[in-house]
Amino acid sequence: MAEVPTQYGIILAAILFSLGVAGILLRRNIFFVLLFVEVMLNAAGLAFVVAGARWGQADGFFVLLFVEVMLNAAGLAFVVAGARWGQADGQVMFIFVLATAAAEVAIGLGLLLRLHHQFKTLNVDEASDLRG
Amino acid sequence: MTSADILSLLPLLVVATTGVVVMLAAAFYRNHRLSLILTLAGLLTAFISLPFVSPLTPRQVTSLVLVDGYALFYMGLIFAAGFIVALLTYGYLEQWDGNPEELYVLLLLATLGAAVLVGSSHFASFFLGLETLSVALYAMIAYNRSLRRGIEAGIKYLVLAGVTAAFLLFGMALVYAETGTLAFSGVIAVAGGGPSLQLMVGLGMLIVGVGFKLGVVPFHMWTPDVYQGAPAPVTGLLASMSKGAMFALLLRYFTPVMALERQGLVWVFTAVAVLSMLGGNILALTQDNVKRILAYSSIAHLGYLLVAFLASGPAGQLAVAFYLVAYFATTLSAFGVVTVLSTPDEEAESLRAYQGLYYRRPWLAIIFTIALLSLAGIPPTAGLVGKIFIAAAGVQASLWLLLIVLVLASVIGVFYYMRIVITMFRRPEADVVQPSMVRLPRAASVVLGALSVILVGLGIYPVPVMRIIERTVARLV
Repeated sequence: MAEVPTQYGIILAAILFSLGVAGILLRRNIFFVLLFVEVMLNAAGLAFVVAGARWGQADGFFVLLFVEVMLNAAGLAFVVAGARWGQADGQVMFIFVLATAAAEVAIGLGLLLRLHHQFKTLNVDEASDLRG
Repeated sequence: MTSADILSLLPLLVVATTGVVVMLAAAFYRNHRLSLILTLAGLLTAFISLPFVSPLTPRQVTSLVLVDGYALFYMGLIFAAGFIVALLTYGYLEQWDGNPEELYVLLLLATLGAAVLVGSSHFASFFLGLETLSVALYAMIAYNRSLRRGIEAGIKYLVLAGVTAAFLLFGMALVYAETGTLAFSGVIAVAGGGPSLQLMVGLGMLIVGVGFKLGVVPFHMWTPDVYQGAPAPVTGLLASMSKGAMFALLLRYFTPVMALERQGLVWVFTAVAVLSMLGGNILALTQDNVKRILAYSSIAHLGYLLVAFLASGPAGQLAVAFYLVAYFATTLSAFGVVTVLSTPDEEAESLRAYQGLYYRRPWLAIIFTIALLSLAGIPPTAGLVGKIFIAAAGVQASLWLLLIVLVLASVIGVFYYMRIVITMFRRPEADVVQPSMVRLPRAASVVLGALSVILVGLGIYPVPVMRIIERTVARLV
């Protein structure tokens, strides 16, 4: 399998990250805001995997991990297995990112339900009682 | 992991265990008082364990946590803050008809996260500590879920902290890609080799993330809204523990990076410090809401702390440690007064609610006055001594611009702190509807009294705390 240069991975992650930032700035629906926060977190996770691949020998899992990031699916087993190959720190961080992102979304969705209950909308701009 | 390793993690293990115990207790037997007692016992045990762990230090436990005098000192500060907030929360939630027990679980989680943060020596533990702290805080901010403003504040903090985490992580990933190590010490060693674009962008993103967490200008937009919307004791926690832990970490690991003659970084932090000191104080002038005033005041205080950070060296370390002790006591005292005057459904936050407080509750008014004097840096309070230490550190490092701004900003600050004081001592007008006279919770009254004694005591005789700081924090330098 051909080697994918580190720069490509970092650039892809940067594009994803920028998409996340743009999405948060542009969309006012809290559901989409949460979604874009997820995209940003995954972009950061991807950057870790890419960085790990540069310093270790994780290239076999590299392509699989790309798919994972995009699917945001539970392919954690691959990352765990990837730990066998040299420096696994990047993949380990990726698991942390996934886990904490899940925790954030769990609370985020709870708050979102309450927001809908209280404000009858998912538009974050309309939730603006707090002013000085 | 040897047994000595595990032993040196004792304070963290105690807090984590207490969290689980309180959660299980609430699952089987709901009792507000029991939850409080378990929480207090856990935090007290963790605090008492610190001197026993101290002889084992400094010890690097795996590559993740570094337990040394510095970490133990700030852990002590964090546990004390958690203890005080737990006591304040008890009185605040006593009359509330919701379930109060889970707030203590969240409080212990936040304490654990903050303690891990100050002990972290690796990007992974840094991130995990930060997330444990943040995720617990989201739920605490929106704890009164029937209140619109609580939900709004919770969502605002959630989106902000999510973005912050993403920035921090992306910065870490870029730094890691460049250096090949996730341990702070390794990063610092490699970063000395010479700057590359990727490394600079990575450091920049880390600074943005840290800046958001500290709520310094220009990353401060969330502070007033979240401070206002969160329950008063939680706001106290947010202002003290969350910001303090982050600052301790910043001081420890960015100081070596700054020492690598990165003039760019020095200028960035100088600009942030100047903007925070002036911006925080000037924006506070226009506010009529006590919680928002305290929010802007906290922005300014983080700016003062950045002056000591920029001064670096032993004097800077000492100034930051002392200032954080004083700031923790002052902030918790101020939010403590707001807490005892508030109920979960109606917070005493408008300035009108404080009019004539002296004639209704003289002691509370005096306690609040002491806290405000300390925030303003007027003798004889801990706040003044803290500012003197910062100024001394600044003089040693010849940071003249920052010192001039510090003095100017402090003068501006006096205006709005005094405004609250004057309001409290002004006779209430007859037609003003008096806020209902709530019974003062006994535990909270004792805590507030003790905090005031500490504030004045440190203002007059700061030597004991200085000794502890010299023996723990400054030993590293």
